[in-house]
Amino acid sequence: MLSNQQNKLIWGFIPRHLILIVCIAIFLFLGSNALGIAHFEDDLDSYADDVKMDSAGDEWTSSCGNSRWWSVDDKVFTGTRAMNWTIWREGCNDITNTFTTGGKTNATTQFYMYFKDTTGGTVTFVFYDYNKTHGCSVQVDDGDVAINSWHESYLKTWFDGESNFLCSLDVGFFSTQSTGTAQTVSTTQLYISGSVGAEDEWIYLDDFQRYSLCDIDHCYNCLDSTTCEAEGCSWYFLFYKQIFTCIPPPEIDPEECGEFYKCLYCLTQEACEEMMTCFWTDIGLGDQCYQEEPAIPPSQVEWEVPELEECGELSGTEYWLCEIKNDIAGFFLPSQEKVNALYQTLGAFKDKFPINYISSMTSFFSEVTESLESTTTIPIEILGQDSEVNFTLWDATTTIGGEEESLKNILFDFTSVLVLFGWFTWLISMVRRFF
Amino acid sequence: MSIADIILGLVTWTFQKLVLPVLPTNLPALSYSEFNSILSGTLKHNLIYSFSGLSQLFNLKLLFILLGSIIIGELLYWLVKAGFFLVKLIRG
Repeated sequence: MLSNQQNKLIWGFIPRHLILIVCIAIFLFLGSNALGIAHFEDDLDSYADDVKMDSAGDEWTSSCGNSRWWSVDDKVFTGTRAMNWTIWREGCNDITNTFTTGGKTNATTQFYMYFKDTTGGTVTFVFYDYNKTHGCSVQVDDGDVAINSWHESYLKTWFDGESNFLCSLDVGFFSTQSTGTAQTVSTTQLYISGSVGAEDEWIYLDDFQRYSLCDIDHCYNCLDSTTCEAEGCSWYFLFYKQIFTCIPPPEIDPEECGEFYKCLYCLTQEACEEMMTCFWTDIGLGDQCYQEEPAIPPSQVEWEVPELEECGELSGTEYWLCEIKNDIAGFFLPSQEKVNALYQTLGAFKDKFPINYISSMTSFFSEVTESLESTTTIPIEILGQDSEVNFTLWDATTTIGGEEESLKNILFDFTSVLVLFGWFTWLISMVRRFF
Repeated sequence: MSIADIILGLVTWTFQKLVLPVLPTNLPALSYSEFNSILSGTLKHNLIYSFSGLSQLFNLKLLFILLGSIIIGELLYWLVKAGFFLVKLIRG
């Protein structure tokens, strides 16, 4: 049982630290989308029956206001509702339903798909990133899978080992992959559209959920090297993103004559000597092709030990002073090998906690700062029409103190002063709180 | 072998045998690769997407630096107060 004083301390703690709690909540809200690994999750069971998907929830919208995806209960994979595509309900000719997914880069969403009696059915998934002009699309046709049965399906987006944003769709045994348009970096909306051949044909989708099973067929869900390699996948370093990721094991190259370790597959001297890294010799096992030992380049070290002064050109007293100076310096100067060893040892700290986490954070802040310095537009939507806020008024100029100044610079300086004033107010209150 | 070689050898041996083996590469709850992918992936793009529109009106670099200093200051203040609070709680 706590005393009255302890109770007062506990219950008085939260109000006094409200500003910290609010700041942490803001950053958790911004970062919450980064922590999930599904594009979105929706089992569709919360919607009413026979409801257009563009009114089925805040995250679902339609490209023309009348959706052809409807929430139904006549055929579901699990739960009470699924969404189905129909052409006989009133709507536009080409409908896409959109689900707002937030900014996801590496994400996998599992769902279930059913083509019912379709003869020309297709479903297209298009991921658009935050500027809505770049994206990645994948499509499945009813000819790719068995109709009239539910198929376990996966939508996945990720960066490859180069600089490409990729998306893939797996429906049962069918698999397709596509490369996103240039500059695609994440997903904020998923457009889903469909088509069927006749009015009595249907497409059903159900149970969108996060997929996180790590196994040999889903290496991308393995988040650390231990589980990745335990499942037979490869732990690979993406130089472009400077991160490790889990990828399927590389395909074994065919055993044919080639460079490096493939030298042993070169069966003739001519084929062997054509390779730059191979040589033909007999080490007691008969003539065979072997790989040459690679020349190891010298380690690149930034710290160079200064060289001693040359005394050969001097004479008399200067020569002896030079020699004495070199002897004393040599007593204290380190050798290059010891300096190299220290440099490499200190370099090993970069991969250790907390240096690696701190360097990751500093590069994150510098990248965000550089990105925020570039000006962008503010999109708005009025009565269904997309547009952008017009800032041409910002370029209007006036003369202040004999200098031409634009309205943008004036407002910029004004808001900066306001922000600084607010910060100084906080600083004064913080100092008073401490003392 | 110079004095500097001996000192450097001692320092290198200390780092290699006593310090580096103790330091972990990953935190138990959050591996480095997961941490880096969260920061440099979706969190960065989420921040850029959320605040890029304000760049026309505010000096975002200054805003984030000041906001970061407020958060760090409040966090330090909270840690100090939490320490005193725990002491009072234990003493009763």
